Amino acid sequence: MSVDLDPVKYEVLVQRLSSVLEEGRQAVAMISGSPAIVEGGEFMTSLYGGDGRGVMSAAGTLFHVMGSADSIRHALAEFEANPGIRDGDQFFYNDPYIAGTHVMDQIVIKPVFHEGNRVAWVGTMTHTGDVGGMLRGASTEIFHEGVRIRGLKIVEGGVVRRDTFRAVTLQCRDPEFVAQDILARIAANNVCSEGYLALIEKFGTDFVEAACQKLTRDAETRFREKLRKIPDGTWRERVYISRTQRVGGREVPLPLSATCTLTKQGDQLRFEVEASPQTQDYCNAALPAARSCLFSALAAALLSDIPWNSDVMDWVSYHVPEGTYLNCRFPASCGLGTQAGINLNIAAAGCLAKMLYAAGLHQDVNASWGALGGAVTNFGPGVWYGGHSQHGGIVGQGTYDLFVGGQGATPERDGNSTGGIYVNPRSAGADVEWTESYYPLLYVAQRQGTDSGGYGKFRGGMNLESIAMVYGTQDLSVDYLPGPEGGEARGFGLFGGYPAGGHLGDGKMVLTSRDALLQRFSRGEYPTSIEELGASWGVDVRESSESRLERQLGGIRVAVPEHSFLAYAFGCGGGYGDPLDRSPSKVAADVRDEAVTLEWAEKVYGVVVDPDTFEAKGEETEKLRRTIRSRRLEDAEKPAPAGAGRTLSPAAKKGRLLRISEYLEIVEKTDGSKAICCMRCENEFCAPGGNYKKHALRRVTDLREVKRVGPGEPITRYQEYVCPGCGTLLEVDAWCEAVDTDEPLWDIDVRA
Amino acid sequence: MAADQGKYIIGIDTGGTFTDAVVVDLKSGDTTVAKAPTTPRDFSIGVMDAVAEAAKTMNVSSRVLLEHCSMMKLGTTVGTNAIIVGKGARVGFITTKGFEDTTLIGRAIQRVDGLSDEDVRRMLRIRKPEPLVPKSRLKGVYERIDFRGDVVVPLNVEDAIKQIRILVEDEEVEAIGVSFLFSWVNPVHEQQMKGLIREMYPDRDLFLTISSELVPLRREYGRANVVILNCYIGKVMGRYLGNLAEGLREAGFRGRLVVMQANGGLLSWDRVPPVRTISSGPAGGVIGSQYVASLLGHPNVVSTDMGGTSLDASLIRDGRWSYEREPIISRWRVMLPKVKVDSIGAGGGTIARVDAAQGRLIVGPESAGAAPGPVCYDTGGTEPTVCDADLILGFLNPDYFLGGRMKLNKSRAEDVMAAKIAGPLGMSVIEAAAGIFTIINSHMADLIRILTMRAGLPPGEFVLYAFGGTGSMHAPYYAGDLGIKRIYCFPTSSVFSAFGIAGADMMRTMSQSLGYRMPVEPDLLEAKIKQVEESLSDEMGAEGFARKDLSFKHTFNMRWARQVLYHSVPMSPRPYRTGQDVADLIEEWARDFERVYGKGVAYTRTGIELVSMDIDAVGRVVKPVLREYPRGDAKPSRALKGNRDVFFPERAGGFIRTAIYDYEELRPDDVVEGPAVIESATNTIVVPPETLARVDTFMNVVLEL
Repeated sequence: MSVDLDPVKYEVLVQRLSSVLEEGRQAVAMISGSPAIVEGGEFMTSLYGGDGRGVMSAAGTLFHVMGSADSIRHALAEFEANPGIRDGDQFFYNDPYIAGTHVMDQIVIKPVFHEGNRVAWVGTMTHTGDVGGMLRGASTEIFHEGVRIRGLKIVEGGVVRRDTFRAVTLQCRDPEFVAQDILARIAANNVCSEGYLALIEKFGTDFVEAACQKLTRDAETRFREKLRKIPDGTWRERVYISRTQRVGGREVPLPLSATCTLTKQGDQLRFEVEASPQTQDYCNAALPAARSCLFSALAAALLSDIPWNSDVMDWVSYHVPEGTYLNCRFPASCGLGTQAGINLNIAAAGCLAKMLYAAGLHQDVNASWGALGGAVTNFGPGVWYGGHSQHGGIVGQGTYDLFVGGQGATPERDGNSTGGIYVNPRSAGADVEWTESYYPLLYVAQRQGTDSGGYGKFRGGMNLESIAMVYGTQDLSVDYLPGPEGGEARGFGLFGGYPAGGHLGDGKMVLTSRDALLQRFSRGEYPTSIEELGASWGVDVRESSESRLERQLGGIRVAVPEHSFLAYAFGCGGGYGDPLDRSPSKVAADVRDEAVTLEWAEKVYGVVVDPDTFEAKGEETEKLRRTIRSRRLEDAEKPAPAGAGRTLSPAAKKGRLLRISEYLEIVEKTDGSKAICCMRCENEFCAPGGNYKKHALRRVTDLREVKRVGPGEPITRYQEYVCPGCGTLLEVDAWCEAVDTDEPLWDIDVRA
Repeated sequence: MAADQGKYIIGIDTGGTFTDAVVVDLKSGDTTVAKAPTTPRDFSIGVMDAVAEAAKTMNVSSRVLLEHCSMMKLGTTVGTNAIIVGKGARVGFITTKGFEDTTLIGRAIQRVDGLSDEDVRRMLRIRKPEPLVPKSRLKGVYERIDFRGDVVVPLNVEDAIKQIRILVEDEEVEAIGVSFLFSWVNPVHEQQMKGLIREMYPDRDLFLTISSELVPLRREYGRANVVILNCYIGKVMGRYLGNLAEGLREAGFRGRLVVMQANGGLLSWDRVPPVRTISSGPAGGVIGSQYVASLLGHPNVVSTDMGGTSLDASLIRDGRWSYEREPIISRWRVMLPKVKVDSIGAGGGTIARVDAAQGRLIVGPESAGAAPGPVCYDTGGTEPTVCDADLILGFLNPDYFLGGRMKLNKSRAEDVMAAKIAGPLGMSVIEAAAGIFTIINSHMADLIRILTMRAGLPPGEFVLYAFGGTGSMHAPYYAGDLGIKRIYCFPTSSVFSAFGIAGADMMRTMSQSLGYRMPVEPDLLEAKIKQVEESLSDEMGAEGFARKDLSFKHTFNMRWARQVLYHSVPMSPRPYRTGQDVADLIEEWARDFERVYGKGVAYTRTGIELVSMDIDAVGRVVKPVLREYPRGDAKPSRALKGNRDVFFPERAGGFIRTAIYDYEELRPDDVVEGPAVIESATNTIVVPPETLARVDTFMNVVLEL
């Protein structure tokens, strides 16, 4: 069938399609009872072909593009004959082994029929935070996690089925809340399907279908064209998060590593993933979550000007080994599937950032974003509350502070502080006045965390620090991960910028004495930063003998008495470039604006700032920076002493072939050979095809040397790679000795 | 007031390019419209110029016009302009200690607020906006009030004095804004701060705003932005209005100078909260629509204003417009009641381009604006625009643009159209122009469809009012696409915001967060309403209105207890004395909710919450009356001024020889049959084939589709 796609009609249709999806989105927002949806933007409506192929998605959570698509494919494979897929039906899904990232990702899909033929599907996915089951944090298998539905006809012939509807909602703690969200999803699907049918009426089935196919085809064509303009090569990124496990009656850290290798050849992309084995607790991602996380990375880096379409994952290839925490085996618990999976998202984003840099597309190069970090995956109290609010109702699960992540630095600017999370372009936190009206909490501070952004020539965005006091309830519990405060580098920095890390992704819970506290309140004082929240305010649960951090199944939940403080530090952005390259006036401004403390301005940036005028002292700064550089050269180990440190003579250099990082380029030599060289000092590392890090100097540093972290042995360290010629910091890798060898991570392999 | 002083009122709308004036002769009902270039260096020059233009048309001197003018109603963009060019005051902001970064954090959503969907998708490139108040001038004071309004931590006066001193003496701020958490429930600490600041610096000319007086609404981020913006533009606005008042007085004006607000009402120039003047121009258009709709008996109206860069669209439903929640000013989300006006990048200057990779013809949202402008302006524009397409298709008259003041270069428009659009897509120049015309109309139809559906009515239930320089050329197409049957084009269409401002009343709005679980005790609700009305009455008393001369409007913002957003319903004021009164309120709201969102979509068993209310206190002032014109002989041929070849997209066959009418020569009862074009100095009305254009008794042109 050939349809003449008149470009004007086509354009009118494409615009109308996106307005139909937008209408659907608005329907969800208006009806929904989920603050995560309305306040946090955690939802998406999408349109698919009759065969489940992707067509278009509204702007929402990137994960959700894949979720509806995966559900539709499942329904087509399983339900065609029994119970049948008919006009007016809608199906409910929330099985992370099929679609979505965890059971809270709930999906309703609807086939669209025209004259008896199935012409399209619409799907709406939201994050709805109640699925019944065990309160979060303790589960060890998916059966603990409450409602898990692998497809259920919840609407039949246009009518909501009372039996199946209640079968879902009545298993939850707060059935009305869940019901409201299901109705919102159904309404959004109805709005979208009606809009789609109106388009068919106007343009005819053939035209609409041909146009939808063209949309997808064009998206793929443009995607591949974009790839062809990028140099071939391989890029790697490695990231960590940790859990704890009970060993000999003690909780000890359990680090999880994930390495992503991205290979780009011609117009093909392949992701190869290595990851630690799946965990015994709920920090696992099933394959659909991993796929969604890869999609999110691709969408942000490569699809900003191409319609978002779930078929993207058919255009690339990927392999995530089964049995790892990024592709767990059924029935592993995966309640933290989003947070686990985001590590893959970050690792893939790191590979893509370096690839885009080599392609000269610097605008889309970002160091890592703070991703749902801090409280959720990190040590100390989590945000999965349980119990009753000050109004006597069921307390909502989490606050929305975790959507307020610091963002990564770029080749041209600092990362946005408290800017949002990578997987949702419209992610948003809530007003404190809103949160306090519904949660039994009274905040005493919500601020940007000093020294939090990853150090670099351009600084990573600062994180959000929140301190809240439990207020108005005698019944509140929270999940708790009893790791050391600080001591882990997270995310990645780029080209000498530091990963986000140190204490800055961890929280604490402080038990107070009510009377003493109220007395201090009456004098007009309270703690306004995590640093201030010391022993004078109460006892950190980590050091309390009274609070028993005991496991129930896979994790720990603790009761939080009224007037306790819960302090959270959420994720921050990674840095870009050698911190010694940051302009001293910027560092001085950072000190003035409380982004960086005086101490770390000197230690990391080598900038001496006058504490009264907030101006950088020129000479002292020069001197200090020289000292730091020479210390780098003196202290470092030389992994491959032979052959390292040669300087390319100007006469031997014919020209630059390709810039592969802020400091490295591939040059062509007069003898016809090629070499990777430092752009500052012409130090010649090795020929392309070799790992430049093996020819650089290396220092392994303790996190405590560059960040103030809590007591206890850090879990990860930094591997800092330094140019032997000029002492420039080329790359800073997070490294955990317990799970990875000290082989330098070969992050850039471009042959030019 | 001398008798002859009441002869005229003047409405002014200061736009980005032009300052529009409407002079209304209160006795005869005659209106005179005029335009002058906007003068951003000193906006008052543009205002005076527009008045002078009008006077010239009326054959009087500016002085005589002003001496006989009882009221000048002014829409201004001084505030908006100060924000855009970053020329506001040096502001210090004080909030609850620990929350100094609230406006920097901006709920993270600040990153994308005010950006287009296209920009939002460029996730890795987005930058947060530069803050209006930098970190060094954001100060915290120890104090905490909880959600019920109970004081948890008393105001630490010592700390307060210290922070105020730092701002005033070290940071040398010109303005201070204060917004504490939950001050909308209990303003005691903000009041204390106000007292302290006044006491410490009685002689300093400090501009001071506390949030509980300006916006007692829940949500600290949007509230802080309102306070900061008010401080930021406060002095600039004060200076401007002071100078203008002075200048007007010198020019003979003895009447009242009143200023338009975004809530659709006016206040005296020396009492209007500066931040409320932002976005007041578009509000003027809506007020004008509502006024005309009431005169013409139209309950449901879509009003569209298509100018050079954007289409502003708004709805009148059941005779009323609605407020927008948390509108965005520049990049700043604000808790301010603002007449709801939606905008998309669709205007005469909107640029068309070809996306070669996809073979797509993309129109907008970028605009060539007034400079460099469309190609046919011959002022340096190089990108094909909607206006160029209109010209190529024959809708626009190259020799009668702005009444002939500007010649349009058609051949250049055709050359660019050929090179940039037609060539790459393998189309003829005409097809390309017709394509641009169709696509831009479709964008506008999409916006209007969403607006009407959101209001719970299909588009066909509305009549459409077309304003703006380009509106009545495109309206028959975007309205026709939606099933709208009637379009009105007004004699004042090209300056309709100014007309609307001229028709506005004096008004103060107070929004108050409530958080009542319904049914609320009637006494509690009644007391709260009375309290707000009292405070509004005092303020309106200062404007010269006795309580008995005020009328109040109540808007209740309610939701099902499990909903996050709320639905607003305007109610006529009534006392709440009994449980039944409250029950009636609940029932009316629930009925309206179902009408808009459909039956059964809400989970109703959880009850209803009264989130907040907006109370408007309105004091009526003089406004234009619509003049009725004598009927003619119903022979529109008198107005026929020639023929032109016009390409109507629905007649793909080619150009049609089309009759061109002179609007000034038409009379009531004339009926023009399409295809036709009706031209005036400021407006072009396209009458498509098989469409009738009727001239009504007010000289409105009514298109029957």
